[in-house]
Amino acid sequence: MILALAGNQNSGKTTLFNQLTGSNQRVGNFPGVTVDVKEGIYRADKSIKIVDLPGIYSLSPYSSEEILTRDFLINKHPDGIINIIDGTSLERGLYLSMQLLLLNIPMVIAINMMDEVYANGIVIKTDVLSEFLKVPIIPISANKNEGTTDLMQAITGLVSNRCSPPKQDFCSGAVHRTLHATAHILEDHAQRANVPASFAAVKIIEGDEPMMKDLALGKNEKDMIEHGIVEMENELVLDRMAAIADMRYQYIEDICKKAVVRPKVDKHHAKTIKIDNILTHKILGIPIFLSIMFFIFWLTFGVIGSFLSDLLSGAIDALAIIVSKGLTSFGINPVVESLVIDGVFAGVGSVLSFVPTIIVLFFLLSLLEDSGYMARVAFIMDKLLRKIGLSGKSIVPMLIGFGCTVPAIMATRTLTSDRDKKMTVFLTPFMSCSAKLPIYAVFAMAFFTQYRALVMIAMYLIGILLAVVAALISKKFVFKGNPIPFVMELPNYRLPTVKNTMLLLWEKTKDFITRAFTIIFIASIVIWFLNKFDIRFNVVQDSQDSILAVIGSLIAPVFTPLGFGNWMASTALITGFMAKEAVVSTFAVLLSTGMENMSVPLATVFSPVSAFSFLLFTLLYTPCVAAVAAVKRELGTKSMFVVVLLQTGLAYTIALVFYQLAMFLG
Amino acid sequence: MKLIDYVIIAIVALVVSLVIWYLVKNRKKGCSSCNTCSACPYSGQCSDEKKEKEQKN
Repeated sequence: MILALAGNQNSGKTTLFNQLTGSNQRVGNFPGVTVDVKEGIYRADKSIKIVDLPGIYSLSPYSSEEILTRDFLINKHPDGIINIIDGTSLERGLYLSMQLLLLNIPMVIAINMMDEVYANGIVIKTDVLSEFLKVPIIPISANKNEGTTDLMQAITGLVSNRCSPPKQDFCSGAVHRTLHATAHILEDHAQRANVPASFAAVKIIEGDEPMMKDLALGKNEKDMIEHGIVEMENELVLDRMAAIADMRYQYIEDICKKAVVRPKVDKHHAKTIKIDNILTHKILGIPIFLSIMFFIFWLTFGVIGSFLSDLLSGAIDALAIIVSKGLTSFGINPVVESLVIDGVFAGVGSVLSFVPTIIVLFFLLSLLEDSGYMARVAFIMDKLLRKIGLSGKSIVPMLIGFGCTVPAIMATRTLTSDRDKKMTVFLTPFMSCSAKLPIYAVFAMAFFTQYRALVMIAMYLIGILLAVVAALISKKFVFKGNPIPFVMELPNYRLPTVKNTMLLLWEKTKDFITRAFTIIFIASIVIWFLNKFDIRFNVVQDSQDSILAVIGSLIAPVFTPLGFGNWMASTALITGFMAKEAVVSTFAVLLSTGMENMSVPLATVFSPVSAFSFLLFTLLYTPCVAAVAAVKRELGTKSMFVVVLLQTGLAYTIALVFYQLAMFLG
Repeated sequence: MKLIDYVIIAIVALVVSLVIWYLVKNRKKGCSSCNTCSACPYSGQCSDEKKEKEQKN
């Protein structure tokens, strides 16, 4: 049995999915967290498969993830639909329900967030609603796992008895007449296309092109239908889309009048509006956002995160010393000891020591996300982003980009315009992902100790500033035209839940640690080997004679004008293409040092000016191989090469200009 | 080189092989980057692919 979870964005589908399947799928208090179809098995009955679909507002989709949901519901024919509605915005949810009811699939409506509904003093008479819509209505609170068993009993009962919602009319008058006439004309075609005639009729009246294609109507049929629609438009003095929407909202208004009792003042919403008056203020909104971000970065890089990272790197170095002593006392061969200490410990340890910084950063960001503030950020940034050719919706992928570029590029799926999507994909790599954080931290510590936090924040800001400049240029020459109008649902503010915060934190930490023990581990061993042996596989006394030095020296001259034309830097940049953290681990292996003592040997490779030039280059040069693959998947091979070449070219130019200018000015 | 040196080298080699096997297993769809399937936006497609494979078999 396959059950689909369908509903508006941010209605709690994934929270319910997690409760039903025991999964830990990512949830968030902003619309559009789910961008792909996800499957899981119901934990109480292994024969039931639950499918979590991206949120939609209607079955006339605009963005790629909305198309996924519609295609699944219409073409994959799930056995049942669980339609989730946010109880605090019932009317909007019912707009989709009215379309789902036409699909002729057994369906239950789950009214979610009932805890908030009660807290707000709203009364929803589910029996009255059920009488009107002729499907079971189950109140639930997915977050607290309340009502979910009743919900599953209801839907499985319907599916077992094959009880689809009975056919019903939601309207009268001109729309009603047109719908029936259209349904009669296309009935045979709908049967052949395996879609209910009433649903097909609504879609055809709305001018839905995919449905038009599926039905393959003849010219006469099209003309007859068009004639009826024009008559309806003339009678109602509304265009076809508005007429259908008006019919739905009219019906919803009628049933809500009878089934919902609202208090004069919605307490929760009133509180949200009060907070919004400050946080999304026309003038104060952006400075408040920037202050919050600055505070988060300051706490992460200047106070808690850096302190904990220093502590951990000290512990890792101490452990390395103990292991080294142990290996020496066992009389282990010095080369084998070097493999363990200089290869494994220095390489993996250098990256692992940044776990606390990552945890602090993402803990603070997840608080913002789960509280509902991130959705506001999109709203307050819209005006600013519009000036550079983007809409506020692009801010979500860009903020995700501070974590990892791969999901950030995927998140551009929520953008309905191809122009906006491409532009956002091109700009996302400018945001410093968490893998670049260790590079900034190591160099800031080694060369700018006093201004450590400031330099790290500056790297993030430079990335953002350059993204703005790149956007302005590309708006003028490449991505001409205007961004799409920005419409986004702002969720109510909620207290971040411990579960969601911990889940997000665990994901990020696990990802970082896994990378340290996989890609970074392999890279460290390979770098150690190439640095320890010469081309005849003899152990070298001086790493200048190593295989790596030979390879690195071939590329190094390219970077001489940038101030870091040495083989170590060029090697680190190459490994950084595999994973950005590998830049740090490569230096740790090449300099045979742990994190705590890296500053001194690093100063022999770079001067403060060339170190900053190197930081600028790593900030901007090509994203890692996984991100490049994600660009290829979203935009194709050509765009992938454009991103790689553009980013690297820009990185080279900026670093070159900075270094030469700094040298010129002395 | 003593026996213990070979043992250490063998352990490191074994771990390297396991990691490579893990990375190759997850190489599709950028999995090597997002190791946590729950956070991976491609996870839906992964299950589609699994299904296709099962059907082929």
